[in-house]
This record gives sequence, C-alpha cells and structure tokens, in this order.
Amino acid sequence: MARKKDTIRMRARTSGGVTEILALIHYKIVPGLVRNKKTKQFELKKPQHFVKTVTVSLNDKAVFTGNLSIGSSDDPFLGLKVKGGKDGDMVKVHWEDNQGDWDELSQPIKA
Amino acid sequence: MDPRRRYLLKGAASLGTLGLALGAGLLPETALAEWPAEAFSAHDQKDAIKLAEGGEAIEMGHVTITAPDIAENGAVVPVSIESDLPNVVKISLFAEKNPFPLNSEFEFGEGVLAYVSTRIRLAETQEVMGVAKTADGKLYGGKALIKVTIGGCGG
Repeated sequence: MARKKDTIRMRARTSGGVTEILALIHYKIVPGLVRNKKTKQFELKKPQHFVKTVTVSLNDKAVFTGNLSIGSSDDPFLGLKVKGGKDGDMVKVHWEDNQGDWDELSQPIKA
Repeated sequence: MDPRRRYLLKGAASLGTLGLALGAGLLPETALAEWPAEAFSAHDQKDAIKLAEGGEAIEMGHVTITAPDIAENGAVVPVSIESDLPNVVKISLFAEKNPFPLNSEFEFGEGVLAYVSTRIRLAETQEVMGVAKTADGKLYGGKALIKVTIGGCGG
C-alpha cells in the first residue's frame, strides 16, 4: 500500500472540441505464467504483479475507467478522447495495482 | 495431538479471511466498477464474455480494431478499438488464445468518445475481438487477426 513515485507520463491536448489524453504508466508487469513444456499449458509459477485499474478524471469528475490485467504490456499505455475540455482544465490519471500500490498525476490540458 | 488446538487454529484462520473480506468491502471505491475477478480468470472466451458482459449475443459490426497485421513482439502489441455507435458505455477486449481471454475492459463516462488505444500481450497468432456495449445493453463486436512472431505471455 504504497504510493509509487513518478510513474506516469501524460499528454492532454485539445483541438477541434475533442481532447486527446495519452497516458503511459511506468510499470513492470509480472504475469507469473510459465508454459509447461509437456502439456503446452500456462501454469502460475510466481506471484503476479499487474495494474488493475486506471481512472481518468477531467476537472475532478471520473470519466473513464480501465480494468486491466496481466494481458497488458509492460508500461501500460492508454489513449482516449473526450468531448470538450479547454486549455487549463485539469486531467488526473490514477492507477492501482493488485498489490495495493498506486500513483496519480494531475496535469492541465494544453490547447 | 490436542483436538482443541486444531480447532483454535482453524478458527483463527477463518477469522483472518473474514477480516480481509470485510476490509476489502470497506475500502473506498475509486473506480466506477469493481474489477471483475471471475471474468478475468475465465479460461474460455465464451465464459469470459458471459461473465464480463452478462450476455452472449454479439452482433458483428460497428466496432473497428486497428492493429498491425504482424506483431513481431507479442509482449507489446498496439491495439486501438473504435465504435461508430453513439451510446457506448463500455468496450472490452478479448484475446481468444491467451491463457485468460479477457484482456481489458474500458468504461466510458459522459462525453468520452467510444475510442480507446492500448498495448497488449498476445501469446500467439490469433484473432482479437473488441466488444462494445451500448447503454441499452446490446453487444457489438469487431475482430482483427494479428500474427505474432514471438509470444509474450510467459515471464
């Protein structure tokens, strides 16, 4: 249950009435799965580490939730588009993993 | 061995799990919806769809997946999903041949366009499916075949 430091890179740009938000979370995912050579099936070998939820808020109102899993790549990336949003509006990205670690970043939109 | 000792130990263990469950329930809910553990641990795509969406009938169309035809590295495959429907509340992504087919779910609040782009892991060459759920509970799907040179699910 600890907050991680400086894990989020974010870009929020608005043009033509639509704001594009791009967020990259610096995070090493551990799927914990190893393929059994005989059965060809994946087996759980290690404790898993993955980002569970990502929430994006615009001016303190949650607009987007992503439920992720071990199926996301390392350094999970999300891109979304929101109608409205103007220069200086605050975008907040918050993530939480399955171990209770988390981080968040607030950043204004650039026109 | 003293049977009472066993009993006490067992009692303590079950109290522990109960305490954990209560603790989890009391935590403030930051996300719009809870992380669907059952759907994410389903091994079969049909089960995963049923658990995640609450339905099976998917109409193909209105959902477009943009992804490379050939992904050299299965550990990082850029995928974006888009729907032309106006009232999409949720988009889920399924990868049939991954150990757990439900890859991710995205829930949209008011004013968010039915679009998401992300990077996923694929174990092998397969068709990925994006499923969009509209406000009235209907499901629409779109598929894309992605060839994977090196699988990316171990580790």
